[in-house]
Amino acid sequence: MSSRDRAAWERPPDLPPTHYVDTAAYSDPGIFADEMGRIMARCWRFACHESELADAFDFRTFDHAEVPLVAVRGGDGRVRIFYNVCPHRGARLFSDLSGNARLKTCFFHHWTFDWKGACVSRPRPEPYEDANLSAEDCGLREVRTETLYGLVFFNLDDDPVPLAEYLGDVLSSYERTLTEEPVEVFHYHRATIRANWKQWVESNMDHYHEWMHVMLRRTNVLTEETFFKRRVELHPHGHIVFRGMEIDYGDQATILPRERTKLLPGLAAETFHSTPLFPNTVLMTRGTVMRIDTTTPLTPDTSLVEFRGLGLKGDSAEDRMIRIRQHNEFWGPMSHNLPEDLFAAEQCAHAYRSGAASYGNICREENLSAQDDGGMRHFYAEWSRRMGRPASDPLAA
Amino acid sequence: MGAGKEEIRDFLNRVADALDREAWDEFLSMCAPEFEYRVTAHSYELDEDMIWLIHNLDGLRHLFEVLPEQLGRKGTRMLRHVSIVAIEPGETDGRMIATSKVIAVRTSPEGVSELFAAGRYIDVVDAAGAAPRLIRRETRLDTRELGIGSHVPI
Ligand code: FES
Ligand SMILES: [Fe+2]
Repeated sequence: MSSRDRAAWERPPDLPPTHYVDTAAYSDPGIFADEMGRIMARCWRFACHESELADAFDFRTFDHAEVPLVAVRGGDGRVRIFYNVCPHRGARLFSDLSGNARLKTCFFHHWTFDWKGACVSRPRPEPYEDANLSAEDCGLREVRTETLYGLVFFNLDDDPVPLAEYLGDVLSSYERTLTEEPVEVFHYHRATIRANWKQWVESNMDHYHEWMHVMLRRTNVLTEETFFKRRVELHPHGHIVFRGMEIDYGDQATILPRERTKLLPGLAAETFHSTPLFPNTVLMTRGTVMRIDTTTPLTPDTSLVEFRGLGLKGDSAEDRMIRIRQHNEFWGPMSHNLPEDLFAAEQCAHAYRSGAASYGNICREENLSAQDDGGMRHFYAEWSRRMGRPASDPLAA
Repeated sequence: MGAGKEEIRDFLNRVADALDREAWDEFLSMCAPEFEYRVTAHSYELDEDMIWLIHNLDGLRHLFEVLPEQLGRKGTRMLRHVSIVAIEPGETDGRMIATSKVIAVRTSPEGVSELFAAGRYIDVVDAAGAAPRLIRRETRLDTRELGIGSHVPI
């Protein structure tokens, strides 16, 4: 056993190339630009939950794409997503974060659009007609939008595979949870972190870090063999399911008991279950609440993470309060676990940014039980396929 | 005779100072047995009020007890600048409602300070006893991006 000199430190690990990631994948600006074009611009990504646009003409703007977007529920009940950009001179069309508008008039020169994205009026239009610029050519840019189990997804590519084909049956275990009773978002917060987007995505696939959390160290779960038998399922297109199992927190009175009567449909009481969708969204549940994370790359080393908490629309005030407490215990901005997870992502990013670490290790194999790194290898296999280069050597010509 | 406005003003400043000094026991001793603490914010995304933290005295005691083991960097500090706007009688005899503006500044172990959060305290104070005590505190945040978050009450 010894420490290593520079040559040894920077030498690629003696592992299959699928089992490590070159840290240039997190920090190189050229790779980042390619990720935007080859992954972000072509994959289906989560936009919001339908309940955020409950009524006809409700809109919701968001930043979690490389372009500003706005989701609008039409008079026909369908959710459509547009670039939140006025085609005239580029003004941000909807400047509020949410609201309701049957027609939207741009604040700048008062061009007006309907919920299908058509330009329906331009003040004093004659010079446009003289210039042969018809209203027909002034519509909004609509992006492909599809909904599954109330989850609204968009794709910046005009001709992607259908959402159902992209997701396959990866969300089927959440079908009851999301559809048996109306669900709504009760919590939303965001964090801009100094870390590459993949580092946050990884933290939701890396179950080997559970010792980091004081609240998990304080339970007996980490000493029970069964805890390590939870399964990782690898699905097509880079998606993953971490099958939950009932966790007995023992007599840790400080962990709030998940009351069986308040469970979301289809979930068991003390079960942590999580589904990372390629590339940047994770759904997870703990008996009574669902959380959805969305990670948006801003620069190679800054990312916007959005966190949603979901419960049942029909919750009584009392039930909702139980859900809120249980959400906040581990997942809120002032919870036990979330600040620890974000801390970890930022601390690793620091080393990767400086080039002090050359490789990240994802080589654990444990027959796809929970602390197997197979989930991360599956993610990077899809990443490598889409990027046309291995994550272990992403600068290879 | 209960506490007057001056005394409550002084009391609230001492509460903030105890939190700044991380004198958790001193802070808890300034709370009534039925104390409730919550951190709230309004989401313009959802157009809904949210509760981000809610604890009674036991919950806070546990939070402070776990704190030394929570992951973080030793030497990170939070300083709360409180400016009391109004102190008015509550609906129940002997209770006062105090509204304050609060700015929390977080300082890293390297000594770099940055604005962590801006908001208001809505406090209910028991002013009838020998010394004032906090019955309820709502920290209503304007700031909704808290970076990696906080284990320490604002
Ligand atoms: S920029 Fe919108 S009408 Fe001119
Ligand atoms: Fe974690």
